[in-house]
Amino acid sequence: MINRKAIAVACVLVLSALALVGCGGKESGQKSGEGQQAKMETIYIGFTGPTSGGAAKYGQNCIDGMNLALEEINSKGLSVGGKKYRLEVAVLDDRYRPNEAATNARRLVQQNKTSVVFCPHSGGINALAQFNEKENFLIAGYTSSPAAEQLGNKLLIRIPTPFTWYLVEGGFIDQAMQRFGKNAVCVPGVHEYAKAWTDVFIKAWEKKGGKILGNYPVDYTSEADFYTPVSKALAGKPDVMFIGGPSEPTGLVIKQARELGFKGGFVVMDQAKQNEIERFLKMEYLEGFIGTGAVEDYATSSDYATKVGKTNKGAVVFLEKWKKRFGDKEPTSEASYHYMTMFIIAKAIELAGTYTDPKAIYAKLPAAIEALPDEQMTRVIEGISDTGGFINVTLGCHVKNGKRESFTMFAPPEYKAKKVQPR
Amino acid sequence: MDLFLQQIINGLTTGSIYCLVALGLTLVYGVMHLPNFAHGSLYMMGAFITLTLIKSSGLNYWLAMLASAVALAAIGIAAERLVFHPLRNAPHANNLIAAVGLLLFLEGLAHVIWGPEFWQLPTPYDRVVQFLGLTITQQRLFIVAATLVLLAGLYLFLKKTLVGASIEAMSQDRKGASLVGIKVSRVSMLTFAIATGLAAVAASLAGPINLVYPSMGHIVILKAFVIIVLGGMGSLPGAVLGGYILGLAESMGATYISMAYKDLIAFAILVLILSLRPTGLLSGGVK
Repeated sequence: MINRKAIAVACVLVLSALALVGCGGKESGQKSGEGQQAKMETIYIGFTGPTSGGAAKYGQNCIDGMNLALEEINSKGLSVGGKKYRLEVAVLDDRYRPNEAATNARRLVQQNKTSVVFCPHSGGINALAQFNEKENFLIAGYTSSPAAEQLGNKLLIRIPTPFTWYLVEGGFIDQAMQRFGKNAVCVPGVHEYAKAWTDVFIKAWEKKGGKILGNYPVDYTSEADFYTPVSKALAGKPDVMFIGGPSEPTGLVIKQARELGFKGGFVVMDQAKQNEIERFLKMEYLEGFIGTGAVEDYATSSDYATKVGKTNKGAVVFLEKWKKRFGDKEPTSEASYHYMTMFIIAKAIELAGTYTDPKAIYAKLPAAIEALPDEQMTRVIEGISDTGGFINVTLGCHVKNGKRESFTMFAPPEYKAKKVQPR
Repeated sequence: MDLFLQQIINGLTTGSIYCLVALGLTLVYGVMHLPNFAHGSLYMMGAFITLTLIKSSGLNYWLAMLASAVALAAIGIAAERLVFHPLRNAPHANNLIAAVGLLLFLEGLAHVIWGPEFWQLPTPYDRVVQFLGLTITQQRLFIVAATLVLLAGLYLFLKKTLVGASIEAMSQDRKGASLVGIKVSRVSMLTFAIATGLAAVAASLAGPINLVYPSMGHIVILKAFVIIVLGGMGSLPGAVLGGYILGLAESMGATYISMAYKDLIAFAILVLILSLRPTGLLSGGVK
């Protein structure tokens, strides 16, 4: 009896310990880049992100994008103050944790003397934003959470499209309402990002005269089966389902909704990508999918770029280079954005004539974006705002009659008004 | 009413998977007094082996499942021989630590071999069946039916065959069983083989309606532990009952109480049952 109790207690202890340990990670101080230009001095660009554990692939995609850009930059060398330098990414693993991102950033600044630190998650960006102005480094933040810009940080760049912009005129909601109807139900993930997205979606949907039949968040990564929540969501006979989490579980939700007889459309958070879902789901299930566009879409369509007086050359060049370098590996948005941002940062360093003064580099960003040639602009951006956000032109993807169709979304006019003119 | 019936069926499907996993866990616990934390990882290995067999050699779904069950049984025996058998006289904590070690090892192995991505197990039975206004895929019907067949088979095996009886004898009284000439180590190996084989079948059945990835065992093992505590540690009928109770409680709770508190409801039931019956619902197995 006592023995059994002891075992039960031990079970609980071990299981909770396991939950705490999670997926173990490694400390990797690896430095990537090519070493052929040994004569030139090196400028380090910092990166703190997940390179182990469940999100390792995501972190690696970011790094691959940056390094792809560096290969080109380093082949000529970067001239700063009349001297040639090569650039290198110094990578530290933070396992997606804000506290480790903060430690890493300090290490990168102290050891590698870097004045720019890339971080691809909102938790880490928030942590770094607490002290980056004081400790003098620039954050290149890859997060589509609009909250990053509201911190009032003077040394922060927000790279990808904020998710609120997917709901502009002609965006996700207009697409879904016109085709399917006004009754929507939400089955989003339970993570912080999904919660914020869902709140914004519900407000925007109701503002356009739509009705929300219910909001049933489920844990996309630890649910054994989505039939229960999906059955419940469909009981109200919705026209549109709002869903979103990592691509694969999102695909599973779509599949199960179709099996349960849902005929309407899906508005999908930008975290899930149509091209990743398509790999394991019948296209007929994806009819009416409305979500963010894939890297390929930016290369195959061009009018999104011509509308703002640019071309889609950057996206085409990036895809070619990626295929040549990585073969079958799927090119992702984070890779394409990090690739372009690396060019922008390098250009800003060149224009500022210093790599040690982040304020000077930051001040040259508008000019660097202006000077960026089309073939390096994998995503068309119209400039940078006074809160440090890229003014992105974004493509959406709407599956109609078994085919993906792109539609263009521009930054809201009131945001565009905040554009900083190059000096 | 439709929703109610639909959720009953949804609960039975998940309950069936829970059942098969919990059976293996309780079987090993009954015979060896070992809470096998690695059971969830063995479940994951089963799914990956079936996936690999179908993808690489285009094997029939059922044959792949069978082959995976056999492979997992072999892995189970190896685990018993290499990890747990050498520790049979060691303090109990060593067994627990070894089980956790095995868990981490298997998960790391899966990361190395198959990577961290999500996979989906293809099934030839993706068709949707409609009856009485209910929607269910063939695969889900198979899950429920296959579980019943396996349960019946396991019952007959344990009750009607000598080998089965020796497993039951060991779970009732280890010392007594060895005194009457039952070979303890052979029964231990057999138990592990059956338990891991069942896990492989459960994973292969659940694979098509879910996703296959290295940490897929975590949720399942947590639920399975709840189930065997609920049903009575070491009790086979308890595991079956507990599995279906948990599956139904989750789907009903999510529908009629709150989606957000789905897991909370399941654990509240556990607390309630344990406070009324501290040894679990049916604590026949282990004395």
